[in-house]
Amino acid sequence: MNFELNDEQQMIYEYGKNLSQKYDRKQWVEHADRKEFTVDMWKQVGQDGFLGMMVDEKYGGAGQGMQEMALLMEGMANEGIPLLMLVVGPTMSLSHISAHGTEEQKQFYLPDACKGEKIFCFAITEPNAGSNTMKITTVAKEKAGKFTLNGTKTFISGADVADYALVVARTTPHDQVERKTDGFTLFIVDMKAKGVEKHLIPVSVNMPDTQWTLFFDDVELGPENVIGEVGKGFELLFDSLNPERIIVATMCTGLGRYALDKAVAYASERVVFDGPIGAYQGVQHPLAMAKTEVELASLMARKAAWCFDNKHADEGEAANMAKYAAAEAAIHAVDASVQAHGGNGFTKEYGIFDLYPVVRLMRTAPLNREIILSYIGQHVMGLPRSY
Amino acid sequence: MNFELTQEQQMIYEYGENVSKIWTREYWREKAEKREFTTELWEQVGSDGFLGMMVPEEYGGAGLGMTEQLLLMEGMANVGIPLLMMVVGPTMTLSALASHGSEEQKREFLPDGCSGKRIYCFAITEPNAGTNTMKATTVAKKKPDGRYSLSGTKTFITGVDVADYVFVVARTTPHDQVKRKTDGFSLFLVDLKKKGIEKHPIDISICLPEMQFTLFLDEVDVGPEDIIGEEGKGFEILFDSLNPERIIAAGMTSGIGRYALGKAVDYASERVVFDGPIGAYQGVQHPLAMAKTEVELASLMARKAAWQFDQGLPAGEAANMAKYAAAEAGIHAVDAAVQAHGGNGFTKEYGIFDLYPIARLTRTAPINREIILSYIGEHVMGLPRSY
Repeated sequence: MNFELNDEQQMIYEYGKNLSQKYDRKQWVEHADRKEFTVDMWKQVGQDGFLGMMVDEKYGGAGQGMQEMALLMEGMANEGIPLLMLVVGPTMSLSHISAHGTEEQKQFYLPDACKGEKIFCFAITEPNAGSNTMKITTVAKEKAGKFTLNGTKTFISGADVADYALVVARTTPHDQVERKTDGFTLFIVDMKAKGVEKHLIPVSVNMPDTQWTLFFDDVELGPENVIGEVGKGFELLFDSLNPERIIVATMCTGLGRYALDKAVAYASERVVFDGPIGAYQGVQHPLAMAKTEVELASLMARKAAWCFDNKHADEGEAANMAKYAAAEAAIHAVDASVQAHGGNGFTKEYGIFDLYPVVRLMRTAPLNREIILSYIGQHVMGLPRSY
Repeated sequence: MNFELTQEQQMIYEYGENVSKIWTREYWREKAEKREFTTELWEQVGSDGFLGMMVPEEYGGAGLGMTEQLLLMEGMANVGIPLLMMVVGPTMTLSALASHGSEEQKREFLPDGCSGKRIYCFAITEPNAGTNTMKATTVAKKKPDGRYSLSGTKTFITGVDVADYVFVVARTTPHDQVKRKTDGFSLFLVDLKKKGIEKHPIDISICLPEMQFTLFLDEVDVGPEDIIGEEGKGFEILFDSLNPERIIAAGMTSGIGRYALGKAVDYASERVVFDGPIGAYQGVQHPLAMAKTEVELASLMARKAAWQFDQGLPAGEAANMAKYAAAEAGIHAVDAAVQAHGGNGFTKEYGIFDLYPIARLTRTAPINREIILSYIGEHVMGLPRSY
């Protein structure tokens, strides 16, 4: 075993600190309040070479792995400037194109995406297919080598700023396949294509990234839009489920640390009776408990990322545990921080309660706590399937 | 980073499974109920070469580190046969002797300690000096002939009845004559057959093969040859064994947690009350999955702490977090397992509730949850001291 980051990883982890000198939490919150994407920051990350973290250097990427991707996100979230688009773009879409795209696709899409000039979103969830992906009904009908795409996708992050969407669709109806995971295909869809419409979903969580419902009405696609093989999309999808959990875990642990740092600074200064309130165990111990939870989850996320990069069998176990534990840890961290701040915890000036909606979201998204516990119960512990 | 065990470590981790085929949980429990030491198991571990895990090979040990010591304990606890004497003997006393003893002391004390022929216990706690070691009043008074007269009372000393020697923490300079409050402590290795030593058992509510004692020292004659390390510099050595104690306690509790959950999985997969096994009910399954996650998080943090200790890196943060998290995880695991077993959870036949006292003990001992949270608050997070 070895629990140390190498020099490059350490530098990537600390990148968020440097970036936040220019694009700070305050700016992030202003964008979030206006529900406006942090374009400048995104381009800066691209310019600094980190949007293509998992993309081959040949196509403009950094040629690194999931460990570095997770460290990048965690380091940014530590400073209160997490980017949801890092999840759906660089972690889920670019890594796919990089791993499964044709030479032509890679040359066409990747260099611009690595610079931040082309943005990708990821469309899998449907109104009637949430945790149960098998039920998706978006269909790409094949005719003479061309496809016609019809269907509805929902809760798609950043569809407004994205140039392309990676869309999961059925190319064979579910009653004509042998295994229920057969017949799915992944398409790259140009957001400007005819027949693509988007409707904003107003959500109660302020983020720079907005949520959309996407409607596909006879969108015409060609074989050049297919990532990987027709009908074999599910195998590819599986590749991005664990990375999604891992990177969301690090987003949560980072935000948890940010909330706790604020609480430490406040509780060390604030005097109510004698001496600073941080010396009261009633204030200090809940913060210490949350800190422990955050570090436990962060460590498990690192293990999961390492397992992914090394194709180790513990990947699914570690990724699911990390995602579940990190969301809980972040919620507890924000709550303990709010409590330590007293009334100030609810002010815009201190901005502590403002952290709550995002971390609470992560108990539900991208995958809810209950389905993760069911995964652990069934696939890790060997209990009977519960749903 | 690298999260994989070496082959040797894997073998050590699995040792518990093998040894439990001869010395089973049932054997352990019968001994625990009779409050009788598991001498046969102890000697078996010694003859298999694992009591001297952290002792160099030239003194009869395995020449390995804290990581392997942890894996041994965790592997044994996984199968329900944890040995508390592993904490106070091999982990705390033998490793201190190996690191700080004189050549003569090592030759005299280590080989028999490694084979299991001599057993060591560890005496630091006093009736009026629990968490605050500085208040220890056991004194070794220097006599004109250069020898010492050791007097005082130690309490909650594990396994005094089976031990041949006791490692005693005593003041050689009174606390009002030292510059720093940590000065003036010395460590003595004392033959328990010496004149002036008396032991009284403390009746506790937990069935373990190891008993608790109060030790009375009345002008016991000890010499410079009995001092480990330098006179007056005992505290530095003590510090070396505090993190290992926390780490191995964490390994023990996460193992007990896994054992409880393993039983619960078996039971809940078989037990039918309405339709199908109760393990398919999320009300039963999810609490088990939550506890499983807690156990694995704590176990991973314990491995990190052990690795840091072996590398000579500061291990305080990870060791404290692991100890705290493991105790909570162990308690939650046992509780979820009891609940999954229904009434059977309380029977001697299933023996699930019987795991509760030992898991609960580790929230208080060897160091209580609150002092650990204070350590994390103060030393990890930088909050003001709270006590």
